[in-house]
Formats: sequence, structure tokens, C-alpha cells
Amino acid sequence: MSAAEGGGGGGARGGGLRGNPFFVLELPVTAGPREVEREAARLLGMLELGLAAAATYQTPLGPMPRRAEDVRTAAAALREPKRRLVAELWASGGVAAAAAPTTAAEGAQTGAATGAGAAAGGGDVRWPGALKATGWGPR
Amino acid sequence: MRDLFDLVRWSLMLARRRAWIARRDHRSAAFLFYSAVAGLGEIAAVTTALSLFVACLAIGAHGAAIVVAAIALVLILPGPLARHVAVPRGQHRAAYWLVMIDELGRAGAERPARLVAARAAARVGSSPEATAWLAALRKGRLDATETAVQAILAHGRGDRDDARALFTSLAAFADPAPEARELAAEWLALDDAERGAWAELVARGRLRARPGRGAHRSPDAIRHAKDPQPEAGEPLWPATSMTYLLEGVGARLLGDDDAPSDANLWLRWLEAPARRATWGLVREAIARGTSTTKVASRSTAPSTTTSTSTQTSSTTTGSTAPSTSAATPASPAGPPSAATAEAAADDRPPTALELALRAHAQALRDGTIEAVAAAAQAWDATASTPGLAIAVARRAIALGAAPDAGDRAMVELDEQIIGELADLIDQRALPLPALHARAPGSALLAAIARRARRELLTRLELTCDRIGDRTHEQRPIDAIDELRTFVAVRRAYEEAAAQGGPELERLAFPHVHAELLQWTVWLWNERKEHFLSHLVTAWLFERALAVGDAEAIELHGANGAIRIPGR
Repeated sequence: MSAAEGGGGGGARGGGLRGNPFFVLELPVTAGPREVEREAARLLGMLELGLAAAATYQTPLGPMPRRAEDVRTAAAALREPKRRLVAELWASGGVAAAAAPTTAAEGAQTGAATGAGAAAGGGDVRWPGALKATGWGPR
Repeated sequence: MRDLFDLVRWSLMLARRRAWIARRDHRSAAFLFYSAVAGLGEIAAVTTALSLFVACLAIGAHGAAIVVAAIALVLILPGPLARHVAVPRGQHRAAYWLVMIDELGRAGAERPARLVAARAAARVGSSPEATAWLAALRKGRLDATETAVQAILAHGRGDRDDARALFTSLAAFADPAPEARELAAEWLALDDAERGAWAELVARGRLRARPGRGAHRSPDAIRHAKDPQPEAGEPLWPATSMTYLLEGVGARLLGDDDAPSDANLWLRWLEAPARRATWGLVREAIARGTSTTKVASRSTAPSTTTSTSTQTSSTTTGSTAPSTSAATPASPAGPPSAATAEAAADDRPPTALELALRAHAQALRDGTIEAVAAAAQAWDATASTPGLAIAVARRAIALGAAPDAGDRAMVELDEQIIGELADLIDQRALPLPALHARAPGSALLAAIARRARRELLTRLELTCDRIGDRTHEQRPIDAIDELRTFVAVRRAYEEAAAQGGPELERLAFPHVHAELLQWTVWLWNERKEHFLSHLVTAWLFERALAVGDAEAIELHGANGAIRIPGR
């Protein structure tokens, strides 16, 4: 899997923590081939019917959107021993459904990381329409 | 007579500008002196006109009195008419000609006229017709004034990013262009105020041009730019009453030591235009500024709480996660094997792999330097756990995979880890030297940094190659688009250098130098775009100094010292 695939912004991409096949299919790493096929078929059916229960899956990074393509990719990955082995390693940490931080907390952490804390730098005070109010327009 | 008139006008303008510079530098005596000179000059001009008018009436020369009154009105009215009637009504032609009359006799009068005409055009959306009309007025090469005109037109089209980039690029011109810089400074300050970017606004106000605007881009000036000369030169961005007010508001909001007092801020507010619109802002700044110290001392507590609660949340969820059903290690090393949720939730200590996965998830969630370094160190710890490789090999056999599948899976896992973390570093623009300093001995972090550095260099090289190819094929584009291209290259380079540190800049510079050198030569010799060529050369000289490339320093230093024709 390439770096770009691994770091994709959400949804299954066949590996890593975001698109881990076990997370996509909501299966334990002990699941055998038959369980994999059964679960994939069940999820595909649910997605086809547009059931909300199948629309997302849990990962350590929070819920990710699930598409039929993701389910097929996940099932294919688990059929191949080497890819399954890597997926098992990723899924073995006991963190699969660790809830993602709330948006507010995430925002606060991002701000701290970039040193761009809005409130600390007065960034929460703005002058909306400053250019317009001073004659820059457009009208 | 015309020269005398021009001299008086320039003296008044210079005195007003000097007064603002002194004001911003907190030199009260100089401010009072220049203000008095400007005020007395204006009073003298009005008194002279009035005296002449009254004298003519007194001696019964009514015709002469009418002529004096007409001349006085022609001298006084066009400027205000252009700014207060033609610009708000979007009449670019009228604005242009009124300013031309106002600036009658002044060399280069068309420069302020084009700026005011562009503002009028921008008020009604920078129509293609107005843009073409303004383009027809442009004579010769791209300079700071034309760049400001294009920035104003971009603003009129609603393209704020382009306007911001072009206005900002004025700082790099070896062209004093006081009117253009004044407009740019005000636009940038207002834009910052809209975005709440007060730190940028205040920092811009403190920038100095040594020995002066325009001359600050000579090789000598660049070479000595970092010398400690706190009061030398002049402000890079000229102050206006509005920028001065906004800088004060910004300083109060940021809690700066030299922030103006309440009285000083209200005085600035009185002097600035749009008082009704800025009333609330000034009140807010004063309210915030008063309580800055208290807020700062309290601010630590909430942020610690946020951080702690997040940590707690992740730890808790990590240990009770449903996915633990997918993870019960067969060995102490923690490889995958038969698992149950109960087993993972028991009291046994987490394995190295589990710790690494948790740290990895935390890094992806937080995106901070600390979290990425911790994840890399945790992954390094799994590499020194011999049980993991053995358990993976066993599992590979159990799955019926090829004999070397275990090894290949471990390599693949490394690739995925590096890929995910390198992507994260790229997305969050995390500085590589700071990361390295956090985990100096980490083998994984070194690999991640190599990947991230390669990505940064590839992206930068692609941007430069496009310019190189165009130069090679001698395929010209409009000068303002050439400037936009340079702004994009400079941004990519500076972002890469900021993220990759000096090591990356030393790798990147030779390529940028090779591609851009021919471009500057072509712009100067063939296209006669001297300001643009000089702007790029000065930047290359600056970067050559930063990386210590002796050959490039000599070459760009010599090119940058060539006098710009007609400046």
C-alpha cells in the first residue's frame, strides 16, 4: 500500500488504521474465510438497501464512511494471506473503536500544534466587512 | 513655476508621511514637527489663495479674482472628487482624469491616477472593459504600481487570495512606489482585521526597509538586513491613520507590552476614517486589553483540562474498545492470534505492538510533533521485540502463506506506518528538525523524515521545472502572471524550507537556482522586465546567503547590483 493510500482522508483504502479490513467488516481477527464472505455479503446487502446502520464503521480515528467498494476491497484483502497478516497486525492493538476526540477538543489540539490558538492571539475578534466599510467595495 | 508648485506639493506630502512614520516609531517630537510643517504648509497655501482673491476684489479686479478662485478650486477639488465621488460610483475614467488634474505638473502622476482608477473599477466588480482600459494605460514593464493595480482588480473580482499575494509581493520590489505601498499596507491590514490575523498585522507594522523602501532589495542591504539596527531605515509598509489604528487594536488584543493605552487608542480612532464602523472593534480591544493579564494567567487551566480529558478519553476507549475482540495476542510480544474481547480487556499489561498502535492512533488524531515522535518511538520499541517477528511468522504458517510471508508482512507494515505518518507530517506541515529533536535516535522517524523530505522536494522541483521549461522554450506569459508564478514558487520553497529545515533548503536551493537563473536572465535581457527580474534575483541572493552557496552568492550579488534602467 502506498503512503497516499494509507493516509487517505477517511473511508476504507485497504489498510492502516482507517481502512483496516477487519474494521470495515466489523470482524475479529479470528474470523475465518466463511465469516468474512458472510459479513461482506450482509454489509453489501445493507448498503444496497441504503440502511443507515451500514453507512459507517468504527476505527480508532472515529467513524469512517463505508461504501460497497470498501467492503469488496476489505473482503479481497482478507482472502490473501500476506495482506490479511498485515491487517491483523493493525487490528491487534485493541484500539479499533476508540472514540475520536470531540470536534472541539480536536480543534483545540490543532490550534496548540500549529501555534495558532485563535483566542490567545485575539483571532476570535474580527472586523467582518472591514474592506467594504472602508470604501474598498465591491458595492 | 511648475517646479516650485511641484516642490511645495512634494514637501507637504513628505511631511505628512514623515509624521506618520514618526508617530508609529513613538517619536513624539518628530511627529509634532512634521505635522506642524504639513499643517503650516497647507495653511500657507490656503492663506495665499485667499489673500490673492481678496486683494483682487479689493482693487476691483473681479476678473482676476474669478481666475484665482477657479485656479484654487481646480487645485483643491479634483482629488476629493475623485476619491469621494468617482471611486464610490465606480467611474474609473473620471477617477483617473480627476487625479491627473489633481497631480498636474507632477512627474509620474499617472501612477496614483491608475491606482485610484483601479479602485473605482474594483467597486463595481472589475469589469473586463475597465480591466482592458487600465491595461491600455500601462506603459512598459511591470512595477510595484502595476502590481498594486492588478491586486486591486483581483479584489474587485472577489479573488482575495490573489489580491493578498500580489499586495504582499510589493515588499520585494526594488521600487519605492509610496502610493502603491500605502494602499497595499491598508488593504492587507483590513484583510487581516477581517480574518482576525492580528499577529500578522502587528508584525507587518514592525518591518523595516533599510536603508529605505526600494533600496532595501539591493544585495548590500540584503546582506546586512539582519544586522541590529533597530531604528534604521523606514517602515517597509507605510502607515496610514487606518493601519495605525488597526495596529493598535492588534497590539491590545495580543497583549503586547508596547500596546497603546486606552486614551492613545481612542485618539487613533478619532484620527482614522470609518469611525462608526470601528467603534465596536476599539471597545472590544480595550475591554480585552484590560483583562489580558488575567485571561493569560487563567488560560493555562482550561487548556490543561482539555488536554487531560482527551488523553483520558483515548486511554479509556482504548482499553474498552469493541475492537479488542479482534485482538488477543498469543505471545507476550502481542502479535495477532485467537482473541476475545474479554482477554483484551483483562489486567495484563499492554504489549509493545498494542502500545505502538495506540500511539499511532493518537498521532493521527492529534497531529502534533509530540504525538508523532511518541508514535515513532513506540514503533521502534516493537522492532526490538523479538517475539513479534516469531509470532508473525507462526501466524503466516497458520494462514497457509508463503514461507517468507511473515517477513514481507513486517516490511509492508513498516511501509504503511511510514506512509501514514509522512502523510500526516505533510498535511499538518510539521517541522522535520523539531521532530528529529524529539526523537533523535528513532530509526523509524528517520525513515519518515526521508519520505516527507522527498515529497517536499519533488513538489518544489515540479513547480520550478515548469518555469525552466517555459524559459527554455522562450514562451512568454503576461508579466503579472510571471509574478504570480514566482510568488507560487517562493511560497512552495519557503513552506518546504520551513518544514524541512536548513538541511532540506540546502538540497532544494541548487535546483531552484538552476531553474530560476535562466528565467531572470530572460526576463531582464529579452523581456525588459527589469523590476521582476531584479525581484527574483534578490530573492535568490537572499536564499544563497542562507544556504552559504558561494558561487550563487557571487552571481546573484553581481546581477542584483546592476542598476535598474529608468529607476
